[in-house]
Amino acid sequence: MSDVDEEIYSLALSRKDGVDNDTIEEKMPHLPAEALANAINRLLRVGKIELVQIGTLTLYKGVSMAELELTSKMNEEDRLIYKLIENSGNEGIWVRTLKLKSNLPQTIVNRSLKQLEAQDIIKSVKSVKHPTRKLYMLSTVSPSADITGGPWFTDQEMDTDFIDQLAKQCHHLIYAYSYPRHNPAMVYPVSHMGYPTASQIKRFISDNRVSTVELTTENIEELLTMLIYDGKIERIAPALDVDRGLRAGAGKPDWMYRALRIADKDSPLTDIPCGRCPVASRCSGSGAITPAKCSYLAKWLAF
Amino acid sequence: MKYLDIESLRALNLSLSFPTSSGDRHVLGRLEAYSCKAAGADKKLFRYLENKYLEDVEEAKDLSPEQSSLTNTVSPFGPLTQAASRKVLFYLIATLNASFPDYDFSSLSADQFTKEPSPDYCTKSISTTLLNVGCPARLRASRMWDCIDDVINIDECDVYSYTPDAESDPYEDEGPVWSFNYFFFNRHLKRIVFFTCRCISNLDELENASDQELVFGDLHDEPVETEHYPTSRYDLREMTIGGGLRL
Repeated sequence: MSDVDEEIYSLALSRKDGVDNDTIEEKMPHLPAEALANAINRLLRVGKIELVQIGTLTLYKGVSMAELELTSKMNEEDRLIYKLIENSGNEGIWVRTLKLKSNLPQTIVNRSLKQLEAQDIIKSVKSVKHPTRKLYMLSTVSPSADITGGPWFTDQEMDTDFIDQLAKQCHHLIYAYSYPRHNPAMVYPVSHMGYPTASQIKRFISDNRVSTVELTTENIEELLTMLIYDGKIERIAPALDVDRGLRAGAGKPDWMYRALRIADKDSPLTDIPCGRCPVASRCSGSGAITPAKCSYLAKWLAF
Repeated sequence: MKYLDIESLRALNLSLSFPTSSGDRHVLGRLEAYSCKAAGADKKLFRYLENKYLEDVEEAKDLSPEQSSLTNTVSPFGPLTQAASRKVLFYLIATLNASFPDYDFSSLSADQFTKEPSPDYCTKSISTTLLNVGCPARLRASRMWDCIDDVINIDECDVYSYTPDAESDPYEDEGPVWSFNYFFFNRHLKRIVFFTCRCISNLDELENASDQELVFGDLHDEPVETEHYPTSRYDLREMTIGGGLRL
């Protein structure tokens, strides 16, 4: 391989997603356009780089020597299937999608998959969202959290006990900070900023080793969202108190969470007889039916 | 499970794709016969299922006796502690795997299947469903149940049905209006006839059409093709429905 080819090849390898024409021209300004085109063609023919199209952008991706060796031993169909599986990254690709994209008949696809699997190049994975679909990915790739379900799933089954327990812990922590300790019947004023944030909760959980697996802030936020929908907590405007070391406006807002107390007494507003009045729609300031002459109100007010 | 290519069933399958009398849906069904003879991948599947069962039994030892007896023994195939019942579960899972090659049903548990009260009950239920939805004269004339009876001897069969939850449904991405999956299992003949059917709405095609197309469409007076019925949802895209809207 000539020097020019070498340079372009290493450039392509250095970028994970490949290089485009502009970048190559930038890095190698002395190279005439024709020589560049020839070099690209040579590399493409040998298989050292491959063409990738993202939208209107054309990129040249470097193919590592190891991968080249691997794919050179495969026949056309296997190589196509391998490339499709590789492109699916850590999400995996469904057999049906494979068939559609490759346009190959079922028997050939199955044969290729069996061969690739036997050579331990690909592996089959199961997704928690579609447990019956056959997904494949490269053996070296770790399935994404989307597929495995993250910390909430063990072996494709939702670990409800774990989730419940952890949620309860979070709720207790939030509740402890939500109402004044010396008098639990009181509430904090509107300006109170001492409610816990997701990152504080995460620190509490990890410090006290409540869970055996590591949880990210996103995981904690998922739990808190679940508690919000359960009506147990609410999300309040982000903390802006820089002194307390809380992030303010740096990327994602740092929401605070406050526990809700289930009201056990009806609100006084529901006691007003107008709610149960059969002629409420005809009631107005003047006329036959007015609050001034209302018998229900009179009875209610005579307490 | 070895697929048995039977002429009469092949002919029936052609009739089992038809538009409903309401015109806005299509029924797509198929009948497949399988022999319970173990093919290549089956042995692996059987071993996998047996191992899974043994693991469950091990785990159950840690649970209270009351809990474990509920989860492990009750099944539509008989007590799971009996190998024969587990064998039936294996046959059904293998049939599903053979019929839906893009899917792998080995994670299914016995409680996603139900045992139907009698073969007669099922044949009547299926016939009623198909008739209500407007099955064409061709299907009615084809004496479907007689053909199936020749293959599997319906009266001797145990009939099971598969009622999947949304995530395990092989028809999930088509969003069917209804679907059914029946297994006619004849123990003596060691055969299963798998009758699967779904009704999908043509209206799904409209989601992709713009409002312009919906209102004005492309009004031709084209003759409706009555002989060619789509065999899959992808074929529906090519069809002109009633000579009106081309979607």
